Amino acid sequence: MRFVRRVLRRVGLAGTLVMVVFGVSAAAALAATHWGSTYTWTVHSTGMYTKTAIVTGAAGYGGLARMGTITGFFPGANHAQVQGYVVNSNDTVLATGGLVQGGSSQQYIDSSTGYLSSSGARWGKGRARGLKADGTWGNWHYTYSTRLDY
Amino acid sequence: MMRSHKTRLLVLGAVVALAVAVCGAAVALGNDSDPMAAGSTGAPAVAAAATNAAGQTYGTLPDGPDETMPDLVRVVATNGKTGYCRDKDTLGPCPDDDPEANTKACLRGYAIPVYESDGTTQIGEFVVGGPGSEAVYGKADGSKVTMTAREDGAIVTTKTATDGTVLSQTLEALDGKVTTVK
Repeated sequence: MRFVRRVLRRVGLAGTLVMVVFGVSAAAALAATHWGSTYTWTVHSTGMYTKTAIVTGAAGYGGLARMGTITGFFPGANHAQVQGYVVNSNDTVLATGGLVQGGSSQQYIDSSTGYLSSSGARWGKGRARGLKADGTWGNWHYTYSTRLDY
Repeated sequence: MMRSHKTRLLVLGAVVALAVAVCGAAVALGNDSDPMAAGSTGAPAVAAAATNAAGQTYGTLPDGPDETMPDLVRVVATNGKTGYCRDKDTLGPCPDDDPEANTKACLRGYAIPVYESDGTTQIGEFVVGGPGSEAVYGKADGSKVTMTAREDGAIVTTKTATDGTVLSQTLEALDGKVTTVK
């Protein structure tokens, strides 16, 4: 007991407070991850204009969930299409924002699936493709976000 | 003097206990959060696509970059039933040569049939897009254009500079009438 008291005296209140700050910070960081904010997934493709497609899922957007957004970057593309989805834990589609497409002046296109209050929404998915120089469409490239709990 | 030491020890003990509790809670949260943190792929279980009597494939959305979308995609209909909708029905009601109109139609939303896996027996409807949906286009100069569908079907188009300043805003009603807001 004396030994414990000696150690505690030496560590002192300041050292303990540092531990508390560290603990609270770690908890806040992990809690933020749990609640999702934004996750990104990157798909690289070759031989077509769709360079990168990112699916993000964000919970707690204005009190509802906004998920399944996909952003496609199409440097130099003549035309591009993206589509985002919200799916549940069985990988079944709950919502899609439909197709969003654009012409040559766009550097990126971002398609949202809209706003859901469904508690069954767990994942964001998306696909993107670009129009190749020869006038044919590249393959769809699929990607997904990580799990979203709320 | 002894009394102050005891008090100090009590405070220290309480603070240490609090720190341990907070760290424990954090770890508990972390264990049930992001599957990526555990090094997994994070991908949900994928049902293998099957083929119906009409030769149509049906199943869930692909995960891999170069996988193929089934002809019939598994969805939850507005009536709560699980069925399948045709992938091509989700690509918009307007022709490919009018991409702007197609995008606006997708933002406003439209209903498509949901079938059994046979692709012919309709069991409900699925709504693509709808109010709240938005499309964002980045421009070469760094500005961006955001199109959002309102409840009344109007499309709000906002042009924003790189510093977030709103450059212009228009409202396009369902009848096509455009009003300049800013």
